[in-house]
Amino acid sequence: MRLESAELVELLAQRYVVGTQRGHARRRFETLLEQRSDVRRAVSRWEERLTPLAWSLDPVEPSDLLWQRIARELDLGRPASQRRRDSGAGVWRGAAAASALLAVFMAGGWWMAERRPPEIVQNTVIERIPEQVAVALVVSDAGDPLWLTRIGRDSGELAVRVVGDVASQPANDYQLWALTDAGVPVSLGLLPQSGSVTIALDSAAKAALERSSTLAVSLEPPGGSPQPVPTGPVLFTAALLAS
Amino acid sequence: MDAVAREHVATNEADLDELLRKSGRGDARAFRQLYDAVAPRLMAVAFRMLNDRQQAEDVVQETLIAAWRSGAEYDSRRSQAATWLISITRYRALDLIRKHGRQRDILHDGQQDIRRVLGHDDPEQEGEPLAPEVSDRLQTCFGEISRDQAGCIQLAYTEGLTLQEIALRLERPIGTIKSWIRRGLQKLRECVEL
Repeated sequence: MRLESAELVELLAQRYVVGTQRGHARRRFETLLEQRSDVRRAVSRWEERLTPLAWSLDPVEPSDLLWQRIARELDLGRPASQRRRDSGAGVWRGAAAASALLAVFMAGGWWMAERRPPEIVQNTVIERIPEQVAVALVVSDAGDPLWLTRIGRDSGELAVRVVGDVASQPANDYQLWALTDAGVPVSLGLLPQSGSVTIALDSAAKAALERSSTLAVSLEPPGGSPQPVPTGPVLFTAALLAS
Repeated sequence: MDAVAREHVATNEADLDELLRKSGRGDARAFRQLYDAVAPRLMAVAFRMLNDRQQAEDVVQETLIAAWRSGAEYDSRRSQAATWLISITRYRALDLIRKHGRQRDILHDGQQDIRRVLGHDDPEQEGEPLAPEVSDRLQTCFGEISRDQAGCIQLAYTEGLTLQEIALRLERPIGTIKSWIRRGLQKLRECVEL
């Protein structure tokens, strides 16, 4: 989508935040949100302007069960040191979590993109890798699967297969990162835009995966980020789950 | 950030910011306090849009889990905690409406309320005022746009109705609704930025 006019950006941001932009137009705009800071800023401004309308609605008390569900989901009953980060019930559960948390990015996460490089703008935290094999499914904002990754802990290999409609980026490469619990990204390699690849992980990547529960995909110059951190926008994240 | 946006939760803005950050760092006590402070507000937003308590609770659950998992990265210089949480809730609710449809009769549900907002039931009526928690500035600005514009913006923003649904409910052409919302928001923007 060509979107050079500031007025048009403003108008589309308006529609996006108010909610009257739906369907494909909304999804196309979300792609722009991932790529352009001016679009993100316009959306943030409208979110801030209109939040009082939502905040001022008469409160509705949730049922007592809601807190119990949240506490159970986050394992809040245990001391922090013993708390699991997620139950890790399977790869599709991870996909759902990634999809849900995309909202973080789409909603108020812009500051993360603009505050610091690398642009880690989404975050999904799942369990460490206790098993021999861990998998992660990278999904689009619409919930469609894009890449399926499989990491063999013992083999030290990362196998990636395109499983959906990955947008062709002839002038760029998609790069896969492990996000450590400390929030530090470590490159795992470049992702294929079609077909599949197997990547031998280096020692830094293996070490990062021991401390990571989330993968991220950024869009980088050909050959990958020139720096040890993402230099392009982080487009997707995916939970790393025991298989 | 607009001054008006900062005002609306000024009474507890700093508290919310801090609770969100602490929650993100794994402070379960702060997280419970955050839950108590915002869950009813988020429920109001989700329930208004979805008209289904279970779905609304699912959305609020996802929002608060996101707060726990991502709150450590929160930066109040970029966004208010309330804006951050409300936005997640609204977008997730819109997503659910898109995927599963709406559990409400959009033609009639709340019609009396909105007709009152628009002043159609009583020509002398000035329109339903915004709740007192809404910042004075935003309330003033809403007073400066037409009832039609204000009503349509609220139907879209707080109830999640599409242009077509608003047109059906108000029995007006979709082009008119689109125009009301666009002009209303433009005036609102100019007003709050004064």
